[in-house]
Amino acid sequence: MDKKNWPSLVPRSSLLAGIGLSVIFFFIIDLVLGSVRIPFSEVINILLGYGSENKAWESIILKIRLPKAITAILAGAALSVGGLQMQTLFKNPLAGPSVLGITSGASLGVAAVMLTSGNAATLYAIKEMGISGSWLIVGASILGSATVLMVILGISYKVKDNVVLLIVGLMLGNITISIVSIWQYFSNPDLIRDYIIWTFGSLGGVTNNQVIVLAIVVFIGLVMAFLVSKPLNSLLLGENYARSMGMNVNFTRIFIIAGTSILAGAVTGFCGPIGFVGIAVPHLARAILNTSDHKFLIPCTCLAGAVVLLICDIIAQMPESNITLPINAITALIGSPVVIWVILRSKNLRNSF
Amino acid sequence: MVKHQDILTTSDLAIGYKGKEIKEVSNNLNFSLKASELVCLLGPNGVGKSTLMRTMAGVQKPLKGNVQINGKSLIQYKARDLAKVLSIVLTERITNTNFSVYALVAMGRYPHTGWMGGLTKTDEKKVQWALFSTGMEGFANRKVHELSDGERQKVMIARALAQDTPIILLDEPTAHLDLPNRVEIVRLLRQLTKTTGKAILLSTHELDLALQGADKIMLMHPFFELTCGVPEDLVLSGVFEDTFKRDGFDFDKITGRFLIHKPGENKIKLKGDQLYEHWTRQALERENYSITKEKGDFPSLEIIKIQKGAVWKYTEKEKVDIFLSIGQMMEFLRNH
Repeated sequence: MDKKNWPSLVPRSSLLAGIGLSVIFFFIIDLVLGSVRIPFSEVINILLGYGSENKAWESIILKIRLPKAITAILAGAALSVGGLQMQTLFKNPLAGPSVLGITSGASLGVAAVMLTSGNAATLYAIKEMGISGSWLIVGASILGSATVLMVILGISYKVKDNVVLLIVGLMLGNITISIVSIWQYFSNPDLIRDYIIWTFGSLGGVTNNQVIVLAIVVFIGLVMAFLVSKPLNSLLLGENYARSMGMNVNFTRIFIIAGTSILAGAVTGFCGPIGFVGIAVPHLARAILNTSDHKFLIPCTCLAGAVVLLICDIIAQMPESNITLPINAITALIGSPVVIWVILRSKNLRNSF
Repeated sequence: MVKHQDILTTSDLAIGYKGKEIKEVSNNLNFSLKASELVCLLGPNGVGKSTLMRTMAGVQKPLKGNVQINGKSLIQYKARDLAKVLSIVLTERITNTNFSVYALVAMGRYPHTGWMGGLTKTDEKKVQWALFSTGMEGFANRKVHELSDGERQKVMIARALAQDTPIILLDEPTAHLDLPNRVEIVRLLRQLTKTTGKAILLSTHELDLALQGADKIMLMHPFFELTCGVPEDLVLSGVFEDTFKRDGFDFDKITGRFLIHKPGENKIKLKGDQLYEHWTRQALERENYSITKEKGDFPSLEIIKIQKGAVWKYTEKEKVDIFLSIGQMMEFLRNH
């Protein structure tokens, strides 16, 4: 009985190392490329703390590109893992971190701050600090997503059916979106413009101080996701099986929803709504590892999400030019064909749901 | 360990659903499951077989009464502790997951492993034993979505075995399966009760399989109380006849089968070799004939054995026809 070769439960883990290395690779590329050309050796010197003769370069790297690249990694990992959790919880390949209405909750918060034109203090704060760097916007956005999160958690405690919950989440999202559009309709065009720019999403608006906060929150969310990797696996067999194997269904559900909300809420708060990554990257990770085991899918999704958003950021900043494209447009434009290609090629999407 | 001790007992159990109003599916259920016993749960659709199983598994709460497992009430069990004494194989077909058979069976170790689900040597031994017991060891490397329905069902049974519980409930494990697979699964479960001392309860619609394979049968019916007993006792006591008669079915005590055809109007006499008589009778009954032993001027059919097979000699009013197969004969009778 012992002589038989039993299959390994560990999938191609060398691939994980490969993706890990490519995170580092694209991280450095992201730092090197940009509208201002800075030599590679100088970038390395600045990163290693030796500084550079050119103080402007030092400032560009440390104050702009470094926080932006770190934000890309954090946002990519957070949104992707959030999406993976939602896809498994709802057993739906089209679910993403935004299905619960958390992203639109953030939009509502931001709209509330930006579009209340009568409020002089608000305008002043935005003018002084710039739209993107404003704690006010971040605060409003987090408050907005937290509000929706509380509603969702309250409902998920009462509603036991995941499909019902999914629909409720989508409807909540629709409600917030329509409130925002009514608000826009009656608002000052200048303010609408600022709001729309926020909805394009931006990795560059996160300051050094904010990156630390974002990193801490994302870290908490990722640890929460990793903690439920065993229940997530059993949820793939259906709730009844999961329960019969001893999983506490209610606790697990709420834990997963809370974890995802923290991830999606934080990223949306700091960077605005970034679409696509959360839905697509989990499929990439499944195709790469060819497994449903979340113990490995979560790390893989994390790293793949970081790589995808780094690549999108490199493209969005249009190296050697002064233009920066909205990150939200790039994620979908570049990513969708890639995902279509991967899914068509590997055909295991159908086998995973 | 004392063999044949009660592992699970119910007292005055009422099952159903609590919504805006209480919908009681079945009540007054008193029975027990003993170690090393294979019990088949029979009953028409909608009588509450699945509800009973879900209630026993703690997925839904009883409306009334109590389920006791090892002398402890079901509600006192934590989910994880319950999963160590009772496992279940559900009717729902698991949606495709990209797990290997080995990984899926290993998930049965859920209540025994730590928060990351890492397998110890003991866990792996149990998983491998479960695969061997179900004869699925050769499939360990295969992906679950590549399996046929029968193989998948066996994998789910292996998963329940890996969970290593004294009680296993299976909700219609033989549905969607072809005859060889059905027989194999019942045989497998029966063997498991004897070799491992587990108590196994399965619900099924396969009357013949239950009669042959079960140590005990539980018969649920919307108008009668739950009846338990050894299959043969239930047959002889006429419980089956009574139960199915109410639904307009005739249960044949001798063959243990339902009679699909009402006795036909055309009477015919039949004699011949036992095996050939049996199948000829079945064909005749399908065509609205009934076999008679009365004296009188009825047509008669005699089966004469020859070297390879037989010939059928049909006599009516001194006119004789000979047929080489049942098919030929039926053709003649139909156009008669």
